[in-house]
Amino acid sequence: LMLQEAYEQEHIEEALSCMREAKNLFVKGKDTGCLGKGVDEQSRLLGIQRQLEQTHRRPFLNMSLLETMFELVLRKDDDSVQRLRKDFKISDRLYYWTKIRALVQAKEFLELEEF
Amino acid sequence: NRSSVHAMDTRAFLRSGAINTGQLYEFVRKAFLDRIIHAGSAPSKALAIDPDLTGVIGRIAEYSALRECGVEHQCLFLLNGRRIPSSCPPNVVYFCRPRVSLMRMIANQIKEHQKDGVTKEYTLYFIPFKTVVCEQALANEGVRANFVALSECPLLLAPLDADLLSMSLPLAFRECALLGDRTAVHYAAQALMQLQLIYGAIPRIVGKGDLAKALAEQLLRLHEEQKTTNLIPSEIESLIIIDRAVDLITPMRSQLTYEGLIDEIFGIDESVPRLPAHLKPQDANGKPVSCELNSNDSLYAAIRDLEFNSVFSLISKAAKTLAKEEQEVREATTISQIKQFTSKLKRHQEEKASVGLHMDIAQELRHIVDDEKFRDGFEVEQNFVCGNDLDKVCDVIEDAASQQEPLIKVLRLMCLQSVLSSGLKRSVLEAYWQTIRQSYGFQHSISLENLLQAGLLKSQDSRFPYDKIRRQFKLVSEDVSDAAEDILYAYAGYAPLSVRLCQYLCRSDGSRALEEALKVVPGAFVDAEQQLPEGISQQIATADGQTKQRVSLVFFLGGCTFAEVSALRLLGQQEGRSFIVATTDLINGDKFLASLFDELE
Repeated sequence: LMLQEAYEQEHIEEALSCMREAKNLFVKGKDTGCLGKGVDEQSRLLGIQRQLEQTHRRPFLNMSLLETMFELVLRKDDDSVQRLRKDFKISDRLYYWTKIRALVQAKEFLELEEF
Repeated sequence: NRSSVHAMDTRAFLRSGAINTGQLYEFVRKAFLDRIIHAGSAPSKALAIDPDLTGVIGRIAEYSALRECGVEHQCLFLLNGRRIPSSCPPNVVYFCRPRVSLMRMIANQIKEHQKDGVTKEYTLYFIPFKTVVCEQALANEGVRANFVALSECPLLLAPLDADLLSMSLPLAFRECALLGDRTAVHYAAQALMQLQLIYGAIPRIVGKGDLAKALAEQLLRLHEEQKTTNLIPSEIESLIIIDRAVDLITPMRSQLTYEGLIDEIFGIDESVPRLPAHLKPQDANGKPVSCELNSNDSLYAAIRDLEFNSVFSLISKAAKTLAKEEQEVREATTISQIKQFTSKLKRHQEEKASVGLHMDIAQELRHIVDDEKFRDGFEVEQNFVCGNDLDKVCDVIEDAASQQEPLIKVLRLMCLQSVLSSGLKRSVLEAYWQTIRQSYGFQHSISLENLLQAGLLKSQDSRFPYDKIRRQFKLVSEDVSDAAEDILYAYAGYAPLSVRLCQYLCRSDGSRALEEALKVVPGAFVDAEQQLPEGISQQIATADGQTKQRVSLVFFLGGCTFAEVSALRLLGQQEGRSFIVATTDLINGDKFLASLFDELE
């Protein structure tokens, strides 16, 4: 198992610069259960982050999902936030905490109260 | 030798224990210094050491002793990838762990010297042992022939305090549990042989856990091979080996003894606390002075094992005593009274500094402990060890993860829940996993996978009958009043399983009831006797006649916490015996989990 992980690790590192190559590995990764799921999720996230980078002209790559959402709430890109929430089945707890923290940071107290 | 006399003065507290650990100190110190002296032929030396060893080496040999062995001023280097200037003395002595990455570093340094056209004498000592892999690595780099000697320095166990010995192997558990690498067991066996050379053979060995069994077997074999050579009367009556894998609960909990709490919050490296800058003690010129926490400081010795809340009253009592002494002096009229005080002046000043330091530390800790986040975490822990809510997703854990609190804190609680419930439900584990991935990022996946492999996190399958263990060993008590007299106090109402095991093991007389009790906990059990040379067994018999204290050595394979040490000290008082603790390293939950991590880049 360790060897397999090491193998995957190497490729995932490459995947950060080269998305396509990584995609071939998800199939392989699938049989490791949670880890496989993680690989799949990560690749989708990376894809979305790349898009976001183009629309927002800011680095998004290598952020965690939560950090990505946080950033998007700050930037008031609610559509993307909702899309992420649906795509990745984000738990309510995680979603609301993130939203609240981001709004606090943005000092959007009006919106916070509405919320 | 003047320097060794001086060193013994500052380490005098080592002599105060049930066995004189100062002897071990002298032994390793001499072994280390002799190797520097005998390295190469030129008297003027440069010393390069593995950064992982600075703690141990700093503990056994102070700078002035190194100078006396010929190490030149400003020629003490750390192996951190930087080069050693060609202008350094012609005799270079390396001390390092047997690791290939270090070999490459050393090879590069030698090649750079060659480029500059200087030739030096290189000596390399492996701590504790030389490996073929390392030698081969040097040969591959083409520098094997540049060494006048490749040797070893069996620096295994060194005392941290009068009753505490450490091997400083922080990765021992990782290697055993994750990589199936039992080097640490081998080192431990050699370390125990070294101890028996100084303190005599240990007649009885008991232990719990698979690795404990492996260690006991190795030890018996080594003992058999070297039996006739050792004729020193036994000072240690029994050896108790605890495999960390038997008790994974305790390291996941927050320690609540004073010393344990300092380690949890600030961290303690080789008895030097990592205090924040504003707490660091300073000398008269405002320059920070180094501070070591050990029983040399009498106030610290009195409060280190106490539950944190009871520390304050003792500190203020000490402060009052000092104030009274000062008052007396001011009112002193006769010369003899003043003389008497001046003779105590140095001690008085030391104590005053100590009171100030601990007052500051304790107050800082108070703020942190009173913080809501610490309280919440602690309540969850306590709830878990009482056996409640083990089968659900815990809200506090989810909240903490959602707010990106330190990952390690979240993982500690998760691991605690998992260990106690003999594996989390599949759905719970997946929910946690997803939260962590989404909140902290994918790069932690391998770390999580490692925790699974080490048995700290798992989905429900294996049997760890926590309920039965908890009742059998009385691990939890809600009643705080009897907590003070029992080892329950160390974690405020939870008695560390490891220490309870020690309690049972040291009473163990082969009776069925005790063995049944020990069987409740998974893992092998060993009970063996070491044959002593004939003359020796008689000496024990006569020593028994006197009221000599019975000494047991507790060896933790995979690390132990400060609170466990504290609990053992109390247990010793109750059982009328002294425990000496030896461990692969001192750990807390954070360090322990971090040692199992692998981050993706």
